[in-house]
Amino acid sequence: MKRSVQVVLLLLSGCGLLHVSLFTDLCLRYVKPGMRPMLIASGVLLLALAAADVWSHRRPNLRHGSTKTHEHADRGGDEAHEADGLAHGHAHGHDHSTVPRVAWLLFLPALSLLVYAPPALGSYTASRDSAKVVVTEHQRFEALPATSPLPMTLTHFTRRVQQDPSQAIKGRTVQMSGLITFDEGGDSWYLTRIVISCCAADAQSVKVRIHGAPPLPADTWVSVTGTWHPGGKLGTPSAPAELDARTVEEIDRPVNGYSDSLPLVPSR
Amino acid sequence: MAMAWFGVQILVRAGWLDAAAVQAWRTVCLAVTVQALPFLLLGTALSGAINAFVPERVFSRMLPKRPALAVPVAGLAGVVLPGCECASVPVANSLIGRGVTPAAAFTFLLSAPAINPVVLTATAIAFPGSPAMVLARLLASLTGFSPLARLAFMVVGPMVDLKLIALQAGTFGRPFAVRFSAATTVVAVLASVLIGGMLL
Repeated sequence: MKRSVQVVLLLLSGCGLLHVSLFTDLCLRYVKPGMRPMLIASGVLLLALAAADVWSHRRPNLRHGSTKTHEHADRGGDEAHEADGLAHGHAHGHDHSTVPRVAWLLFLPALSLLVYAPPALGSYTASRDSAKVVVTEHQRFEALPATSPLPMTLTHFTRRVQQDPSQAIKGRTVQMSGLITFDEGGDSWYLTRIVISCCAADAQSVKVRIHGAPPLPADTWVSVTGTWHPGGKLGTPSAPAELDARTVEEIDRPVNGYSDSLPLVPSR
Repeated sequence: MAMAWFGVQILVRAGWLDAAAVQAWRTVCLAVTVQALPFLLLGTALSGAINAFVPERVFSRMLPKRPALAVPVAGLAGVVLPGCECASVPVANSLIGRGVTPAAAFTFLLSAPAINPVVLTATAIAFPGSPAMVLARLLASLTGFSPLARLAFMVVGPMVDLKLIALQAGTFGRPFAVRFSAATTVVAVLASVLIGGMLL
């Protein structure tokens, strides 16, 4: 890989990172919001490295230019510089001149970040996710607030339905948000949240089945109000985490779309 | 180059790049790259700093002379490197460059991803209510020697994932990476089985 190509790669990667983290919030499709400052810092660092690379490469040329040596001597100096780098390569780990060809592959994520950012994970991932229990055991349940409809997360709803012996959820109107997914048959639909713990590669999902409302297209973000869909014995695992919908309203994907929490300000 | 461009054109025309599966694949690939980049840069910066600012005699003073003693010390030193395993490869390389026994540097390479505070916290969050998992993970990682697949996966995973093998192949050469990852897998699985059997 030529030195100029390396500089271009550094520039592209830096711009790509800044594009997704500083100028837009595209990075929230891939990582948690907490990573954002580090991504911005990395982008700036990459740009600084590119600038430093250009600068350190220019300097010997300028010096040659000022002493009015001709082109041939200039190139000789350049080669000497490279050879110098190789000699020091032992102490430095490895030198720039030995960048392997596989580094070309780095152009893919860099360009992808800049011009062709893939969408956030959605119904495809959620429908392939095996029914893992994301909802953990909870011991104590406080009384539910009197607000109606009561904003809730899918996890809290599932917990209340399947673990709360006081059956406080009975008859209450709750409000939950998530994206729409379908099961394999496609005859029932679910309100789904995809939860990531590190980055989008470890996505898990939590779902609540919705009754009594026609589905919107898959991956649409909706806010649903409704009451628990009776079945089994409430407060035990036999009760299904399902909802009889009263209203279904389309919303924008929340900024914290990769967590099962109440929706924050919609992203741009 | 022309062939590649032609291939991309076909993929775009056929709508294949927009298929849900491909989109999900791209999202996950990009997510791993984006997540790893800051840590990779941190590791590179750290190894550069070690090369530039830390004189060789510091390590020879800090680490015991005999490899057998230096290895445990280096293993514990893995605790101080925060973040992702990607940072450990350039740092280990620069440690060797600074005259640290290779055995000790590779111990550091193994222990840094497995026992750093971020990973232990993540384990605690991923398995709420079972702090034994954190302890088990720590012990299984540290000693280096029960059919608990999840524990084995967590210990082996960060040590021999493809990205890390690629990093090692690039830094220390391909034959090294092959031998190192094979040996690591065997030892880590054994350790997980033993310690998981005792604790979980």
